[in-house]
Amino acid sequence: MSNTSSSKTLEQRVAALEAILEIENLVAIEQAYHGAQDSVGAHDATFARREDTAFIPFGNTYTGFDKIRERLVGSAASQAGKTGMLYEHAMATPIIEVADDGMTAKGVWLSPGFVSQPGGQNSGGAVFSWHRYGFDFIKEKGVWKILRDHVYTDIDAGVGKTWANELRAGSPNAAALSTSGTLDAPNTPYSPKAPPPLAPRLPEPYSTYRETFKY
Amino acid sequence: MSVAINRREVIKSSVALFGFALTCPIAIEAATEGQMPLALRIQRLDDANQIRKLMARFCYFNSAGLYDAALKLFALNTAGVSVKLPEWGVYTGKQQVRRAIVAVPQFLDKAHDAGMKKLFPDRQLPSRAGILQEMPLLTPLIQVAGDARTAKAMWHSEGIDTRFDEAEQKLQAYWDYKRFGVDFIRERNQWKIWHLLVVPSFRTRYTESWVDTSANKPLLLPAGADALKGAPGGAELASYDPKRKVTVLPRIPDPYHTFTQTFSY
Repeated sequence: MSNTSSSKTLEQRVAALEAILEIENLVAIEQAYHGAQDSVGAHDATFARREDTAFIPFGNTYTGFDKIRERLVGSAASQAGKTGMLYEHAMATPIIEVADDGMTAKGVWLSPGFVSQPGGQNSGGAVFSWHRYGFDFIKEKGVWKILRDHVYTDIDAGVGKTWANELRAGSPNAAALSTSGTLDAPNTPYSPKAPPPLAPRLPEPYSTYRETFKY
Repeated sequence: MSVAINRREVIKSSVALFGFALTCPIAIEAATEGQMPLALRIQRLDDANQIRKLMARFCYFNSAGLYDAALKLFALNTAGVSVKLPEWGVYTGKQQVRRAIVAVPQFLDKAHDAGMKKLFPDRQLPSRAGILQEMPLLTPLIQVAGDARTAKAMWHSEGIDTRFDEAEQKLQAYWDYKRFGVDFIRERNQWKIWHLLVVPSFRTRYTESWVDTSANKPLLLPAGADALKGAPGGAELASYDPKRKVTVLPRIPDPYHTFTQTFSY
């Protein structure tokens, strides 16, 4: 059970607000690298160097700092030399909860993004690509890092095209990744056949990572 | 905020911020260990919030055509105040910044008004009728300097614009996506925009792919724009080009203590 804000010391409350600012910066840094097609740079700058670090894009789970890196290096090689690629996943509507012990945090974001892959089938490769994110964060050597990065598909729609149809198989981002991860994680793409779920689960105040769920 | 500071810096920063030196033993001891005094930590959180609001005001004022109000958000009394705009160039110094923030958008508004007059010759429309430009701020990254005198920040902005289209000769809706890299400075104890860099992601008609727009249907500036252009800018001001590889822009700001230790946007 988490302490209420009023029962925390001033030091704890200030530390939590500092953590929120640093975590927003961390997520922005990850997206800035990603925007320059430098997923390996994004990974190195922002992920915790641990064996239980997880990257979970579109239902695929990759576990371990080094193993995630291997996958990203592989997909980066397939993109090398390509021009006109544009990835931007702006981060909006954050809810960030910092654990009472100050060692971990959880956050969710909506992301109204876009992707360009010139030569693609949709609108010359220009696609509005909206995601939702659920993150676990951990403090590593005094610096906030990503422990789990779970990416949920919302919509992928070519410019001027509707998304209110059957979902196309896969998304441009999923296609850019190696698909050899474990397909075991929940993903919630738009479907005309199902109501939208509340996903990711919203973080609640908590004391330590042991007592909360994982994204 | 993981910025280590020493005893002398604590005293100097606290004098600048509060008008007196934080010389109590606890503050000095904490500073010696690399920890900031609580008052300074709170001040820097407040600074980050002030900076968010300042940049939001800039966006709201622009949407409403309140360009003089937007200009007042700039550090006009600080050397090196500058604005870098895609397609327009680099504006440095008080007069040039006025040109970028007031004269350029007023010129675009007048061109829009003239276009609307052609479309609706029998109607008396007020200036800026039909314009809708919004620049929501997303993905904030804010680094307040250890000395709390300057700050650096960047945002994504996924915006819309609506105005007369010179190429198609009609009122047009656009997606207007960009990124901001901004240096802020405390001027007369108020945060102000010191260096504003606007990096274009893309600008395209709402039904058109930005890949097609860039390759086949470039958007045009109104005639006469050249007279208001600033100095030539670098690659960071270049619009999306399917033949070009994208790089990390604006540059990501790392934590820093004083502005001499970092770069300028």
